[in-house]
Amino acid sequence: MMLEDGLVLSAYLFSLGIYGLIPSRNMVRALMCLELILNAVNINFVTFSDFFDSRQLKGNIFSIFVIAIAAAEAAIGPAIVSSIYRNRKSTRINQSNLLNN
Amino acid sequence: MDLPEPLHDFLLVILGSCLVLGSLGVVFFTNPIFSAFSLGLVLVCISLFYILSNSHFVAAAQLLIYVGAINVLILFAVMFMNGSEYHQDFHLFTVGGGITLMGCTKSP
Repeated sequence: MMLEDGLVLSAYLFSLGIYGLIPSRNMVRALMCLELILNAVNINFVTFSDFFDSRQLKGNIFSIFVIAIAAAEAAIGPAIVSSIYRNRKSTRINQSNLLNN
Repeated sequence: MDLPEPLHDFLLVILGSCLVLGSLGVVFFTNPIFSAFSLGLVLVCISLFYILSNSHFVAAAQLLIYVGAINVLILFAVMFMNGSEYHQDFHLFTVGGGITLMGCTKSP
């Protein structure tokens, strides 16, 4: 009961994160949906670790790594967004095309 | 956590429904401040779910880092951006949104 609950919850959050990330025109909403995706992956890891690995907790340890990576990316993301906003005065995603030509 | 079984299931149902509603709020609110607070609710519910899964350290780390640092950073980013252009062109069903919806929900 607990295993299927955790996996279904993780799949639901992951698909909702992708569904919110792809058509979003606001950069901050894209960052929030990216956090949803990373949390869904964490729920998956912790659920499997609780069910199959109560001795060594390898899934819990890896989810700490994922939390650290999400923290670093959540520090870089708003920095990039705010510098783009300072240059362009708007936060639409389709306007940040400086790498195009 | 070693709770009696009906209490465990009841807590799971409450947390699951709170998570479902919160994540729908993250994606579908037009005001980005509502969306950011809804993300905070989702992160707190995930932390309580970790407590139910006997992972107390990950629950504490999630509460500290995600809610305490990452959510606050996202709120900073939301508050510094100008919010005057968010309510102009919000279509509920776009073509890209429909295709993504079909791709994300094709579970058996």
